[in-house]
Amino acid sequence: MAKRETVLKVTDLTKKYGDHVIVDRFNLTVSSGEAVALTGRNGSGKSTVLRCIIGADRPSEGRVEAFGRKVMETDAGFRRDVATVVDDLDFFPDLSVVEHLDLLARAHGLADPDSLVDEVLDEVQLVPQSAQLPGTLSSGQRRRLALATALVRPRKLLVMDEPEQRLDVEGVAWLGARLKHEMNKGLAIVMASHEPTLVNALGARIVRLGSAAEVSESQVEPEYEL
Amino acid sequence: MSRTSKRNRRRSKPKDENRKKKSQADSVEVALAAPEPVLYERETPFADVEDFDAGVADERQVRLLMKDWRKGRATRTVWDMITDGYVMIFSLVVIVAMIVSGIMSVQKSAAGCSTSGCLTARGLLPWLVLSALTVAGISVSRIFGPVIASAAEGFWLLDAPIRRSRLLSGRLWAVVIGGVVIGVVLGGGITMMTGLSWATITIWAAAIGLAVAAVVALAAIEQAAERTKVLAVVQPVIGLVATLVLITMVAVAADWIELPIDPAHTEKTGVFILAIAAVLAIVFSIIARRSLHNVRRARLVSGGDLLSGMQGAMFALDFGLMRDIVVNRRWLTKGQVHPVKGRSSGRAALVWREVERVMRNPRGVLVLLVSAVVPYALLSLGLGNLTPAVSALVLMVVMVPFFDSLRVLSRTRGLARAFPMSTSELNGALTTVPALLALIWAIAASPAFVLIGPDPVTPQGLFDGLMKGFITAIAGYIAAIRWVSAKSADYSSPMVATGFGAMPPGLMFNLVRGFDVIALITLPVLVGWSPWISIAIALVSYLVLRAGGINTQELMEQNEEAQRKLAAARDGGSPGGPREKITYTRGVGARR
Repeated sequence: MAKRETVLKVTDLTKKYGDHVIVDRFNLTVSSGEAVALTGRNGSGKSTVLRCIIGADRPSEGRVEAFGRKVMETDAGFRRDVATVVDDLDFFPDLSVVEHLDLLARAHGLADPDSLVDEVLDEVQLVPQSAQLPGTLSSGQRRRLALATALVRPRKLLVMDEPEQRLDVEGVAWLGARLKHEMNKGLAIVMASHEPTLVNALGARIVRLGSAAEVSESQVEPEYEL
Repeated sequence: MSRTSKRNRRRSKPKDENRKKKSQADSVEVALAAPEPVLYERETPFADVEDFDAGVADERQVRLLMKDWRKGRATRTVWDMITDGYVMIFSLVVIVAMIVSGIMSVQKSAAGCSTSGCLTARGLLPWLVLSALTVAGISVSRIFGPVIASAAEGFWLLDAPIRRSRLLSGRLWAVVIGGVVIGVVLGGGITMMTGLSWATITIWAAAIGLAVAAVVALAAIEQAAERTKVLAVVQPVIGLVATLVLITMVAVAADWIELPIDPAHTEKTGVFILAIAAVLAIVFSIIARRSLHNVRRARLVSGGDLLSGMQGAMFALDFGLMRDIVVNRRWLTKGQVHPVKGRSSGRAALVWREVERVMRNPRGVLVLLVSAVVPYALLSLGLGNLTPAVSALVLMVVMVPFFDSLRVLSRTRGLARAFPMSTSELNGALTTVPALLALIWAIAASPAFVLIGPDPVTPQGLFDGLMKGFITAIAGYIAAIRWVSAKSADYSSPMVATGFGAMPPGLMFNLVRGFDVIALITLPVLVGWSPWISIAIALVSYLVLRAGGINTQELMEQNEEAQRKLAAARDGGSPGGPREKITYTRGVGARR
């Protein structure tokens, strides 16, 4: 088995809004080929941690490093290696579904973007909608398009906020199998999830965030239970 | 019957609730024991709608009732609002006074024009304003309706058995009269700059106002008939007239053709146009009023939804968001496109995709090319030094649609994160195609500054003229980038105390975004400084905007990170990962 390298290192991450502490001294280390699932009640800070990890939010204190470098959202290297599926994804109003995926695959310099795009479209069941503009898609279809944007490009770390949202049972099963396949090839995954099926399918390490958001890796639970 | 039953219902409510609770508790027990049906018992009979008199609703009374409710819920009077907003009102008065003063001074200088080209341009300008404003009136009417209703009105009122035409007639008159007012103000304001007599200006202002009202009423007829055929023919025809007038102005100004126009003739044609516009406005308004009953609820409510979304953006002075709403609406109506395969890879793929988008919506290129005539028209009107700034302003407006991709990537960062390049590289790729279009515009517009100027043309005059043209194009191009990529007001930050009350930081800057860049770049031209100063300002502005603006927080973090790495290297350790052994080759100094 190949040596696992540290992909993500979060040290003493604290996030406050005014006096209100959302996340307090959060620590996390993720290696390649590993999946980490952040769980916890609504408002426990899962999405905030993810947003700090991808650089969308700045931590009040602490440090987030990806691939040994401080996370900088505007850095080309970070954008190349880290794929994200969080709620702030927007789409070009005048580009069709397939054109979005084609553009992303080409921007990442893939050798044969056409076949990959076709394959991913088929996987996310958006072939009939391929010519549609994003504004006409249902919320579930938009979610699948968001997942597709992360699948048509190379990535070493995948950060997702509740990827199971608006997916049916079959969709969750497909996503679990797809991500597990990629983990075997070295992809690291950090996600917030409320879906035990997905978490268990990935064999993800679970980090539960409390209401006071005081979390460390020692709180890892062996198995995710409802 | 009705009164008695209402009282009974009120009295019986608590009893019903108790009984319901009891029956729910019973039903749990029953469910556990055996599933038997539970009969609902009621002391009083159910209310039947047939027992109530169903008279004919009076739409006027409904409107008055709604007005009464709204007034009853108001917590402030108009006088309260004026008292609270006195600073804003005072500022508006000052701004309006400045605009009027500017128009008057331009009118004075224009009145002094005596050449045949200048006189012809003055005579043609009202035609240009007339056609441009009617085209704009049709566009706005088609986007909104023009007759609209809110979602609440659509649900509660339009579904009721009332005469829709009577309920909506006020809306129709409001938009038609609004069209007249806007047409008179804008048309009159621009026509005043020609230096024509006050009588002629008044006649043309009224004609333009009534013409705008006529097309708004025509759009209302089309709305009721659920078609766009007539407007689809009328709009390009008037647009073509506007273009021909503009080109004629240029041709006359450049001495390519001679078209002497007598100012008295301008007044007579104004009266003629006024009469036609008045007849059309009245006829179309009457037909629109009669056809109001046929307007579908969905057509009324969709315009109301759009307007309420735009009102929200307007309160935040976020004009970019207002445009986003309109653009999204347009593409949503289109629904789907014929997908086109991309080309190349990396940044070139983005550039190619921008080319495809321009080809998908070629109307923008046509408008851009027509706008290249604006400097010729302005110079022929004798506006001289103001020409670069006003032309750049027009160019900014017509260039904004070419930056739709940049706009999407600027407003939310999610999609930008998906591209494997820095913000600077990404913005550079997305601004390449518009830069080429701006260059084409510059090539087309620059001769204006040479041809319409002092004769004979000297080498220095040629150089200055061409530079003015290019500076104008650069100013419009960079202003458009600034306009689409400016950040919205930050409501999460602490408010700033102003004379208008508490405001989020950046709110007032939204008003001047784009204009500030134009003023900065064209100011040296206006005051007669070297054009290279304008070029230098433009270059700095472009580099800042290309990098996504000045983010002081990020710069500080980058600086801290660099300091940390430097300190770590000095201490002999690397900032991340295991220590790296560094060896130096004696005499060469190369690191291995």
